[in-house]
Amino acid sequence: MSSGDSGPSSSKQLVQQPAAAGRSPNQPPLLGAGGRKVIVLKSGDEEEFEVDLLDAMQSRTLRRAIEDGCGDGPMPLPNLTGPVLAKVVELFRRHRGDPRWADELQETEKEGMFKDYAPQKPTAEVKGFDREFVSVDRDALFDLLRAANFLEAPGLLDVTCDAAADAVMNMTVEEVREYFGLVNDYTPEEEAALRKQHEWAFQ
Amino acid sequence: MASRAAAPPPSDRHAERDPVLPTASLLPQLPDDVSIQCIARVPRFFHARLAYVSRSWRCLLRSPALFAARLSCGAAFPFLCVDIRTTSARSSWFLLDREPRNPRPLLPLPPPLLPTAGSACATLGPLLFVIGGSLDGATPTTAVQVFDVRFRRWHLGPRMGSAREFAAAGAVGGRIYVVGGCLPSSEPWAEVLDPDSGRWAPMPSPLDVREKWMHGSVVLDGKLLAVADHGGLLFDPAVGTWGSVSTALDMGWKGRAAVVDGIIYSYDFLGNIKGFDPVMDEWREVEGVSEELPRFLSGAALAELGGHLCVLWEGKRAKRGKEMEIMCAAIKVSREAAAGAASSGKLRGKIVWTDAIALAFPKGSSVSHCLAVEV
Repeated sequence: MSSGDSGPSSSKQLVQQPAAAGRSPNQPPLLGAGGRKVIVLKSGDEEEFEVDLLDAMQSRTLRRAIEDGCGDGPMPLPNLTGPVLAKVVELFRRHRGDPRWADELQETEKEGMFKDYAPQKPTAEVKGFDREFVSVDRDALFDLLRAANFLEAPGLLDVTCDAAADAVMNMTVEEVREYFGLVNDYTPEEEAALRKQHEWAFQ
Repeated sequence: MASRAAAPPPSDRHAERDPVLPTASLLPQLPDDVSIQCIARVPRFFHARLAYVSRSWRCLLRSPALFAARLSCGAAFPFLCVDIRTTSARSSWFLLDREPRNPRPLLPLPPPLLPTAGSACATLGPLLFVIGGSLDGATPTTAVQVFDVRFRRWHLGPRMGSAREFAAAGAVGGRIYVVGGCLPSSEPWAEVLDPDSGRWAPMPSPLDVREKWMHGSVVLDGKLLAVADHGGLLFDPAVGTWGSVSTALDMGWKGRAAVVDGIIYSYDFLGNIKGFDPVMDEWREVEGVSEELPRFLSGAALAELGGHLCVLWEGKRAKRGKEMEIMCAAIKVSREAAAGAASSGKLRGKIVWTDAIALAFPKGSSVSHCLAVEV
């Protein structure tokens, strides 16, 4: 397999070109630009995305499916919508070599097919992408969190959970309840007593 | 004696009785696994406030599941428990918490149950142990006060077999060891607390190693080292043997010290930070920090904090009469490798951060203890 083709332009093409549908399961794996293996992910609303095979490995769920031999045809992901999957696929591409998931690789894999994926510290560019990635409204953030949970993707989970934590930490108790639609199940007396006990937390 | 103060406030009884998570989901839109991951990333400072969102949040914020999640996602930053002694011998504990995004790094703790002075301290997981000390500046006590940093609450722990003040204490292998601080003839002169059984057990010690006062102690490589009046003691809990520290170590170690990455750090009589490398059996000055740190820091407290050497001292720049200023610096020390040799043993320090914290305490107050806790 050739290497060194992971420049932004070629990879961008990979993500944005919808894949040709209707491949037979017996065909060899798709080859993307530069001869990398790609797989096709299919959202619940029938949108298809070509993803670099190694990028897809950032998801434990996808990785298990690929290792079970399910990566030859379009892989259906019925609980992810096209827009969510498009974002996720883009994040996987940007997180190539991210130590958050590369740490999980076994030594033999680092030498073998992940040779070009040497873990590197997230660059300022990746961090900027991450910030932009979660600059979405509440419901979109929940969609991404659910996707991270379903895909078992540590990098995606990290970015989205951080965003949720950032949202929560600057809110008052009432705002947190409003944001998440939570019901206050304390009695007024209990709440007053609790607040009195920890006055410093409300200053 | 302190049963009144030790009883939990009535409003807390619900949580005490019912430690399991209620069935209500944490965030209705998300599976609980993900909700825990989100809440775990919120800095500790906000936890007390978030506990009032709902009962299920309160239970989560106090649960082992959250602490496990904080550890695994790298959100659990170690922080310092700092004890300030005022001139009236009152003891006030603070948490110094430099977790990123924490808006208030210094938080006062509720006052301890007993006003002790000259206690020995050790930490074990989220628990701070304040061991013995004298009451009213006169009577040594067998009491052990435990602060659980998760719940911000003091309680009385199991009492020791002997009353102690100015003892040496340290945590090794999940147990707390305490030696001295009582007459050499006392039985037990040394004892060990197993937190699981909640009991102190006496540790046999030969009479010739016993001394009364301990001036400092560290845990190094699974052994408890302490500075006694007539020299350094060494106790190895794994085999139960007692001995003395090497002459080189003894010569340069007079009191407060901390261990970072296998090196014991302390001050020399000139006020310079030195590190003792047990393999080379020699002290080396930590180079590169003297310009940024004031000299004569012999009264400074040292601690290991997240792999850095942390130094706390009383600042000189207090503006108003009633305020004292605590200065704090974290130092990353690296051992320099010499050409050809594996290591020259040279210690080079780099200051990672410094903080100045104003405290409403009379001048002349001092840092009496400083320990790192990780939750």
